[in-house]
Amino acid sequence: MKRSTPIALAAFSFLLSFLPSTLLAQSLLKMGKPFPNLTFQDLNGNPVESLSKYRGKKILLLNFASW
Amino acid sequence: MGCRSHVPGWHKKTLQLQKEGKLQIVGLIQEQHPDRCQLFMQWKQLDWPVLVDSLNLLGLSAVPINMLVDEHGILRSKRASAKDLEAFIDTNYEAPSVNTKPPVKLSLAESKKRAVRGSRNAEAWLQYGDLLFLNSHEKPERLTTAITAYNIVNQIKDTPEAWFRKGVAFRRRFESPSRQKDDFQNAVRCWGKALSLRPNQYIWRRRIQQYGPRLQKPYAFYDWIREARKDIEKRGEKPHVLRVEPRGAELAHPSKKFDTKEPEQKSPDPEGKIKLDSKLLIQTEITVAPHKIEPGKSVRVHLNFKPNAKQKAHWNNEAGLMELWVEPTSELKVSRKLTQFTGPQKAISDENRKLEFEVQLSNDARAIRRWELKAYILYYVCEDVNGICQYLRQNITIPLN
Repeated sequence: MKRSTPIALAAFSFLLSFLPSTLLAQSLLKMGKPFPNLTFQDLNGNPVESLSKYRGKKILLLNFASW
Repeated sequence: MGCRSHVPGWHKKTLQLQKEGKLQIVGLIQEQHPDRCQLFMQWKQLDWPVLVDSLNLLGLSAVPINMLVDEHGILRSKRASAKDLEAFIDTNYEAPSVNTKPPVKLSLAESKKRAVRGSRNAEAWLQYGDLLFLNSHEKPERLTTAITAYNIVNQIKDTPEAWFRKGVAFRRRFESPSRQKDDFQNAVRCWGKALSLRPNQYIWRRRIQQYGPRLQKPYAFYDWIREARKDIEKRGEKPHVLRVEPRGAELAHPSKKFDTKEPEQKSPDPEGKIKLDSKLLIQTEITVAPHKIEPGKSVRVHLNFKPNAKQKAHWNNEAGLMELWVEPTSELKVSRKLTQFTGPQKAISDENRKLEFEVQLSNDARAIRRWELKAYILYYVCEDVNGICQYLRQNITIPLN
């Protein structure tokens, strides 16, 4: 049993290494790290960069839905 | 209901800070339809920029959530309270020692190259699918390629995010000129698969509930639109026009018990004497949301009827009503057996006709059995503009799991 734990952990880490970073979406948001530089859409459906154009400003990001 | 008061509340609370240039509000919405939020913004007189995250790229599993991002682009709070905001405004954050300049982004062509080159790279295919979706507004045919890219992701590895995003792309294509048969049902199926892999994803669950039955709804999703339009018009403004008008399930209020209407009504053609539409002059599309019925649970059935354009078929509105009759077996209950549909005022038309109703499976039914619902539709239809007009019947089988 003592030996199997590190082996299992290694196997788990090995498997995790195949998981692409964007698939693990929650990990995109890290405190004290840059806000992810993603592309979203604007209200007309056109692609738009996330927050890079607001550099120099303090931002309150309200995540919501109209429902 | 949370978001409707939350967002204007925070706008009001921070108005002075916004005016003084100490704070910039940015909205990030988790909705399938961006323009509905545009109407919401007009209604609540909110003028700050909004980013639309229909694909749930940020991976949020709940709304409303406030985040704080400092002047250097660093995330300072994932769930900010009023107190956190106060401290945030008063703090002068130091520029990070490491370079936080955003990395260069791939173009659509570069992204495609990367995906094709590393054919087993799920991340590359996912990013390519996302880029296609994000650039599909003027070119809806890109949604088809996005769906293929998400399929490849799932072939490499069953990925909940790819399932959800594929559903979003299917539904977006359903409302575009590139629409294909069963796009709506495929959207619901993909969302169902995504949710089965990650059952606590509240944003994904809401996407199904938006089109689902009243018993499983948390609230009426878009019932605010009528009130919004009235208020906007009262101000002398013209309400923002929506690309896709919400209807049926999207406006229906939740219910705690399964409602059945007019149970005593009779089948309009019990013996099947009306001639069958053998040429399929009317094309039927069926969507069931959620896509699987379970004992004790209900589903909402969306039916779409469209005159066959290849045969130049059209509705004959002068002759009479279109009728749908649903015949449930003893284990199934339906919200209504008979639905009548009145066409537009003009003599002929070729619009899509949409009908919705709900079905409940009894508690003691077996989950493993294949459940389906028999129905038929009666309609007046004409072949070609000067062709024969007939009263026809089409039998429909609605798969429920």
